[in-house]
Order: sequence, then structure tokens, then C-alpha cells
Amino acid sequence: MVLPGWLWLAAFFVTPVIVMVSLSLQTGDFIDGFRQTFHFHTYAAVVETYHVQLVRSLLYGAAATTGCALVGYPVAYWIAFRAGRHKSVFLFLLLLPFFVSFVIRTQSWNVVLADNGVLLGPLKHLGLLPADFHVLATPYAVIGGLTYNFLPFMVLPVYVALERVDAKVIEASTDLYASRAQTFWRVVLPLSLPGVFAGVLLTFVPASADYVNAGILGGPSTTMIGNIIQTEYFTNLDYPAAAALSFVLMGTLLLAVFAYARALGTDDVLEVAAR
Amino acid sequence: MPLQPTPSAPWLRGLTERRCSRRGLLRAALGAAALAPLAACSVPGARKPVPRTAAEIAAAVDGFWTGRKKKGRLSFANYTQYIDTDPGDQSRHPTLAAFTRATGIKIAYDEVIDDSASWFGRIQPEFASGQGIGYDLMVVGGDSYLTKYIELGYLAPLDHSRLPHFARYGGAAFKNSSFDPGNVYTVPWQSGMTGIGYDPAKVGRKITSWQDLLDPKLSGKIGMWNDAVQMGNIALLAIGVDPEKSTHADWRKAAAWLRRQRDAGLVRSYSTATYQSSLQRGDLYASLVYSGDVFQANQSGSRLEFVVPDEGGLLWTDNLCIPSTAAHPVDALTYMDYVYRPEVAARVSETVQFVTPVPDARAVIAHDAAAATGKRRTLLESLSTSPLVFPTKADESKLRHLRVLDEAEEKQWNALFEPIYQS
Repeated sequence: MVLPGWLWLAAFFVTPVIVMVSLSLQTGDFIDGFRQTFHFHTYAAVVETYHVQLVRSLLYGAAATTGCALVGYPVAYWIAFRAGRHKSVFLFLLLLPFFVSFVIRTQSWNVVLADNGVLLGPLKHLGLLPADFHVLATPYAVIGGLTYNFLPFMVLPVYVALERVDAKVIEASTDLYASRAQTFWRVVLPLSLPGVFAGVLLTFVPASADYVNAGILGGPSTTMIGNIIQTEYFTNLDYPAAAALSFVLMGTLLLAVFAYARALGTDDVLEVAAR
Repeated sequence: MPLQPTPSAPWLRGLTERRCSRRGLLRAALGAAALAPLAACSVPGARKPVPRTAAEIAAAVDGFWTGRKKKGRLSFANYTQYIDTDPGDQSRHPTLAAFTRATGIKIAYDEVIDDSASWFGRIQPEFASGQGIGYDLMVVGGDSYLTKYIELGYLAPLDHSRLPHFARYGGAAFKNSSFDPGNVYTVPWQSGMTGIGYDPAKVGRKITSWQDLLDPKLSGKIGMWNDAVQMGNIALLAIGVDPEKSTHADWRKAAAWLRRQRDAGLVRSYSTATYQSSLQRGDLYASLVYSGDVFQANQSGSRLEFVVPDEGGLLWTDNLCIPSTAAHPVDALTYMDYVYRPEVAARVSETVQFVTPVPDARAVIAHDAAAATGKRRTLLESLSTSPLVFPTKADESKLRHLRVLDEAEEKQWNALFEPIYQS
């Protein structure tokens, strides 16, 4: 019974990882071929060249994740406790944008946030904003785009966790004279934390590796590590560098996730995430 | 004397016993087995001998075409919106239907190419394994990928004896591209110019030079591209060097020019995906543009100007070529020649609105304009008189070609120009 699971993992995870590790240690060029030389220096070289973009990606990812949590938690809370019989409608509305292509959704922010567009235009006209104020082509636009695109990944697990909070526990807390705020802080929030944790994982990892938002909403110095990997792979055809960068990113993200789990005081990351 | 040796101290045992226990050996073997796939899966090279001399090329052409026959069908891979469409029905392509009527060759036409890089990534494994890619004809940009296709032996050498219309009607400026001298493997499909596009109302003056893109008055309103090929080449023009004759030292100066522009805060963003709409919306006042973009933007109401700067602009071509694995190469070659008939080139141009490699198409479009009415007449009239579609002699004299880079040069080039927009 365990075997199929292992086979699946071997075929779709272990094999590609071995191939990529192997590729990251090869040297050569596309026309003459790459040969295995166990050239570990590639790792040092890519870290040295691209550490700025790597750190920036983690910061953007963390900022977007924080944004998703701050916006997503109230949304999930409202749907779980206040939406009544229309819960499924709101969940559907939350997922509706996903039926539109990721790139188109991101591109549409270029229209909404245009320097003299529907949002900023009137504010500038009223003199509330200086004429040269702009959001696009700044880090804020990229982080905002990431937050927008990954929000459902935060809302859904938080919603599931909140949904599972036993109404009797809340009742018990009010019976014991807890105010509504106390009930939230000491009962509901702690019980929903596994959902938040899962949401943070699901948001932080893909947001840090994203390259679409930086490409479409970014400015002259908002390049993320995903853009670099894409260029190395598709433009430069430097497969070893692209593979090495991917592993550096993967390792850094794993470290960040485990550090986060430590800080939260949970020993077994996966168990908490799966709960 | 005890028979048993005294149990030695651990440190002593470590020195005297065999280091390599059976378990250790087993472990080492397992470790080696785990490393074996790492060593095994190298990516093989694929360089093929490329014919260089006239005699070698003639032999290659003979070798490829001898015994090939017309088969009555053809599949054609193109970029999106890059051929004529019926004004009433976007999915119908009149010139393709006319080709089938004239020759009896049926065409399966697919707009499957998004950009050079992803298309190369998609078909390269099929070439490498010797299979056909399912297409007999494809459009390839005049960039380093074309060089790769040629060096890897992926393209069929063209039999020019069967391309009489190309010989007669192909414009001289478009033949002999720097990527394929003598048009051994390719003929141009459509061309275009890279120059500066700007909104005169916002800029408030005429732009005539690449140096205008260093004007502090345009601070934060200039659009450049995340494309090392185009950026490097225009920067070479900006510092007054013909890209095709440029040296490594020139590249460094060109990169410094671009860095100066970036570090002064002049550039709003480096994006090939968004510059056109940003320019139309007014988020950008001036940007690096393709000539066709400006023509199209102005058709939908913008009032942008396109300029080939005094130091020069770039003339590039997207090219038709036949994969060496094509199943119907004779049919593909027949089509290649067909599109060089001025009336066919004119129809394609009327939709695509880039620079056509068939100058005689201009008279055909002018003739069509006289016969048309209303909006269509206005469009065709502006098309036949537009310097963006039919460059003026003055502009043409300022146009230069992209620098061709070999594998080693490309590495240096990318290392210089990519960090400018990937900072």
C-alpha cells in the first residue's frame, strides 16, 4: 500500500531532482554539450553574482505573505463565521479570478494603477497626490501584485482551520465571561494558527520564486531571482547556472521555512502543515 | 600468556584495524551508485559541420533536395497575428487560401510561436532526437537562436533556383542579413525597425538622437527593454559605433552608456511586455520601440512619433526557414517563393503593418486604397504612405544590422548587458 506513494515520489520528485543536481555540476555550453565535471564552483559563482536578487526575493516574498495574512485572515474569518448560508458563494467569488490567466490578471493592474488612470488620476486632479506620484515600477507595485495573486492560498487554509473551530469551545469561553476580544485572542486565533502556518507556506514559497509580477509591474531594480533563473535557462541556455540557482533558492526557502517553524515553537513542520 | 589479544584501546584499534569494513564498503558502493546518475546524465553536444564555401553550400543544397517531390501539403508555424486575416473573420487567412487554390497544396497553419527562446526550448529536443518537429516551415527571429539553428544543422539549405520571385522582388536592404549571409537558410518574412517612439505632446520637443534618452527632463518616463540583444545594439549606435563592426571594448562603453542612463534614474522600467501600452497610456513619454508598434498605436487613436535617431536605428528581420527534418520541404519552398509576389506581400502587410521585405507591395497597397472605401481606405492610404511601413531613403541609410555573436561572444555580451536591466 505504501509502494505506489513511493513510486510517485520517485518518478516526479526524486528523478527530476537528481537530474537537476547533476546538471548544476556540469560545465560546457549548449552547442558543444555539457559534461559532468563536479564543478561546485558554479554555486559560489551564482550566489556571488545574484545574492542581491536572492535576498530581495525573500524580502518581497515575506512582505507579500505578511500582506496576505493581514488581508486574508479577516476575509477567512468573515466567511467562516459571518457569511451564513452564502459561504460557498463567497469562496467561489474568491477563486473566480483564478479562471483568468495569471499574466492577464497581473497586466490588468497596469491599467488600474496607471499614473493618470482610474485610481491615481482623480486623486492627482484633486491635488491629494503630487503630479509625479506613481505606484507602478516601484517595489510596492511588485509586492502588491504578489499579495493580490497569492491571496487565495492564504484565505483557503485559514478558512478551513476556522471552520473546524468547535462552536462549543467558543460558547464555553463566553460562558466563562470572556469578552469577544478575549475569546478571539485566546481561543479562536490559537486554534486557527495551523491554518495560518499552512497559508504562510503556500504563499511564501511561490511568491518568493515568482517572476511574472516583477516582470510586469516592476521598475529598474525590482528583479527577482525567478527572473534571473528564467534568463539563465531560456536566454543564456546556461543550464548549470539555472539549476544551481534553483537549488540555492530551494535551500534558502527550506531554511527560512524551518526557521519560521522554530520561531513558532512547532517541532514538526510537516505535521503542522498537514493538520 | 593469554591467547586472546588484549582488547586494545579504541585509539589503537583505530590505527591498527582495517579502515574499510564490509559495511563501510557497502556504504561506499551505495554512495557511488547514488552519484553514478549524477555523472551519467550529461547533455550531449550537437555541433554539426556547417558548409561555408560556395562549393560546400551547393553540395549541401544538392544533397538535401535531390529526389524530393511535391506532396500537396504543408504545415506552417508562425507567431501570433503575423499574417493577413479576413476583415470579417479573424480565423481566415486569404493568402493561404489563395495559395492552396493556385498550387493545390493544403496548409495547416498554426500560430504556436511566442518568442524565440521558448520555441527553441520546445523543438530542440525533437531535433536532437532526429524526429520531425511536425512543421515544414517556421518563422525564426534574426537573433542568436537563428545562429544556433544553423550551427546545429537544424535548417535545410535553400534551393534558390526554385525561388525566382524572391530573387526578383526581395528588397536589397532585406537580403543578406547579418545572421544568414547569402540567404543560404532563410528568406525574410517581415522586417521592422527599432528606434525611439515618443509622445510629442508630453515630451514637448522633437527627439532626434539617442542622447535625448539621457535628458533629465524625461526622468522616470523612459522605457527600455529587458532584451540584451536589442539593448546592446542600440547602445552601440548611441555611442556612435556600427554594431556589426563593434569590438569588445565598444560593448563595454555601450554598457556604460546604458548604466549611466539607469543610474541617473531616467528609466522607469525595462520591459518588452509593457512598454507599448505604457507609452499609449502616458506612463512613459519616450521608449525604445518597434516601428510597427507605433503604427498600430496610432491606428487606435494615439499620436506617437517614431524616429530613427541620427546615430542610426536597427533593421531586423523575422525569417522563414525549413527545418531539416521537414516532411514536405518542396511544398514549403513553393510557399516561400509565393509570398514574394508583390500582391501577396501587400495583403500580408495590410494586416501585419510591419516593414515588408517586398518594396513593390507599396504600389499594390496604393492601388487597393483607391478601390476601397471608408475606414479601410484611410488605413490603406496611411499604410502605403507611412515611413514606418515603407522606410524613407533617408531612414534606410541610417539603418544598421544586429551584431552576430558566436557562442563565446554571446556569453561576454550577456554578462555585460543583462545586469543592466536585471539589477
